[in-house]
Amino acid sequence: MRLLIVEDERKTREYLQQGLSEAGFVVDTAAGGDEGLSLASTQAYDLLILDIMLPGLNGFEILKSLRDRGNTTPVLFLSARDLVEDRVRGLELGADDYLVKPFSFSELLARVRTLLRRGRTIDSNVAEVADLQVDFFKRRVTRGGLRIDLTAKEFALLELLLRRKTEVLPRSLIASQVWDMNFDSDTNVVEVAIRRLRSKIDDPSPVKLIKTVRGMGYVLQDPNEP
Amino acid sequence: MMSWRHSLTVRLVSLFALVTAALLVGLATITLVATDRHFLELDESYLLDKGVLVREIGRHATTADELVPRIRSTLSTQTGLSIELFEGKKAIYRSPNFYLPPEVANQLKHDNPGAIAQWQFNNQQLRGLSVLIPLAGPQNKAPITAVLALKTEHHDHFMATFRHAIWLYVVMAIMLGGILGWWVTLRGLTPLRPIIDKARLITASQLSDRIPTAALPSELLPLTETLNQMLQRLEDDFERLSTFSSDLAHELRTPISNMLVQAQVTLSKNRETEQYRETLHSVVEELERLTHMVSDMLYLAKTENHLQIPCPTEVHLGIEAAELAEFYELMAEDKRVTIRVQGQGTVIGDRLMIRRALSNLMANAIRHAHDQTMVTISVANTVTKTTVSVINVGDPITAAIQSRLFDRFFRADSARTHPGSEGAGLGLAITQAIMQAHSGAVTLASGEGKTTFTLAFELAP
Repeated sequence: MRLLIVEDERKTREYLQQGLSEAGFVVDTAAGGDEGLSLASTQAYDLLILDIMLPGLNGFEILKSLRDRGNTTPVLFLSARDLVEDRVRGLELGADDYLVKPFSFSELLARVRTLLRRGRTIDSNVAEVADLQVDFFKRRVTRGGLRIDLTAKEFALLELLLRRKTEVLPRSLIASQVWDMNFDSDTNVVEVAIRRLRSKIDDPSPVKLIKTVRGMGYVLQDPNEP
Repeated sequence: MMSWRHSLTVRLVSLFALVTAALLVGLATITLVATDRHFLELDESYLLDKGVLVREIGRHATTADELVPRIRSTLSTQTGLSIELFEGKKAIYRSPNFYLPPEVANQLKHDNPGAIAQWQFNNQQLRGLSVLIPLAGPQNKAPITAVLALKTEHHDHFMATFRHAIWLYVVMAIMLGGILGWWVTLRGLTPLRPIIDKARLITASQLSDRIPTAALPSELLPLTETLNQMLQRLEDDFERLSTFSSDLAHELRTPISNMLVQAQVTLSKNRETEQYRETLHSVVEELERLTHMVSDMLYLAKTENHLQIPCPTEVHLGIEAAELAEFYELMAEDKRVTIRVQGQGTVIGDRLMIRRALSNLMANAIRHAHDQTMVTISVANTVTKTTVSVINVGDPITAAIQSRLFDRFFRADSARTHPGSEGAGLGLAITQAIMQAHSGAVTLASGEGKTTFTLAFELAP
């Protein structure tokens, strides 16, 4: 997967490149709007990450120019300005997502993966990680062959973690996807929910699947898999 | 400088002068007309009187020759009166310096005997009438008529002088009225001076100053009181803003200082990898708090300044409350608190904003609820409004705290006994701003072990 980051702030650019490279992406960068547009229109990328305020062409202009030429590469905007008009304008021009600074890296990573996955995979009806088996259609969960009863929200949480296994999911994304809470709520509800899910899924087994990544979020993965 | 159009002085002076002019011109006109008419009547009665005398003389004369000397001797004593006698069309006697224009003579003798006529001769104004004289003698001769004329120059002279004096007086009185008006206006407006002087001195650092009202006339009192109330509001807002700025600086200082010290201490010597990781984790936690605070502050500022444009839809409060209750249930169970939602009601508003407002209240209610109690969310409808109340059993909130509870960064629990679980102290301020953006209100009642926060939405008329 090849990404292009167009960002004029050096530190942000370099750390994003490092973080996304380590997450397994091939990352090119550009520091200005014109350079960004020429790279984006000559190379094939799977996703563009554009800052809005840039020297030369700004993010909106790059996007417009690309869309005018029929280029449909997904675009994620980064902006220090959180104005409704900016958001609306970006989406009208055909941007796919919009992230306001300061953002957490795990949030960015989760959104990048969402955009790249969009329209490519067909969600299967069953999932299996180690000895955990889940049938999303029948809403059945078993661990080591033993049936586990989950509440509706616990099941929704497990489904999210499973469908995005090995990805670190930030708390805000979990709250938004499971409870439709699209704002920070000053509470530890997600922690409590994870703790309860863990007590049902992981406590009976020596193999712990749900892992807390401090400062980042939660991830579900088989510890024995690389 | 005062512009001409808006100058109160000019307006008042003009009004004064205009009123004076209208009154005096009216009075002068009436006086002049009345005087003129009086003189006319005086002349008329004088001439008629003399006409009667002339006829009386004629009645005692038998012939015209006998009549003429009698008339001459009688009228020579009357100053300003002249006479011409006619026998038929022939003039038989004329006073010296007397001239009667023929057309006037004809008019007097034939067309209009006995009527008063006016004419001019030798720059003299004359007023006269004709009289038929019946002689005592035989009637076979042509009839004898007399034309009597009176010089009115002394009346005209008087009238001219009088008119002149009157108009001079009128013009001077108007000017005087203007000056008087100007003076009265200046005097009348002097109570405004202290207001102007005071207002000129008030700046941001002297917002506590007020315009003194003790010596002001009653008409200016409402204006001044309104100005003072405006100053009071400005002072309050300004103070709130100042407090906010210093609170903000303080709020930012603590996490920044934590991170700085921690990073510097960690860097001061070589350490184990685990220790670096620990430092970074701690820095991330602080930064998350900062990020949260900055986005809350931006949200608050946007909501208060109407940059956060509500996107109105029909919001079912009961359904929203139930969904939020589902979210908070886990946190509540941790504290062995149960959540109950009762009632239904719909309002028109921005769903996300209303959810956020209600969510803040519910998080607070659970946080401050006593163990093993119930948090109740109750939706109710009255004729004018729909309300949703969040009620928890807990320590009552004192009046002193209640008054500051909705201020930014205010925490009732200033020692922060629940670090981490508590936000930046912006939750209730955000709730209030959201309600204001919806023309609603958030209110609080606390006592007898119960605390109730209520969001009230006015129903559209």
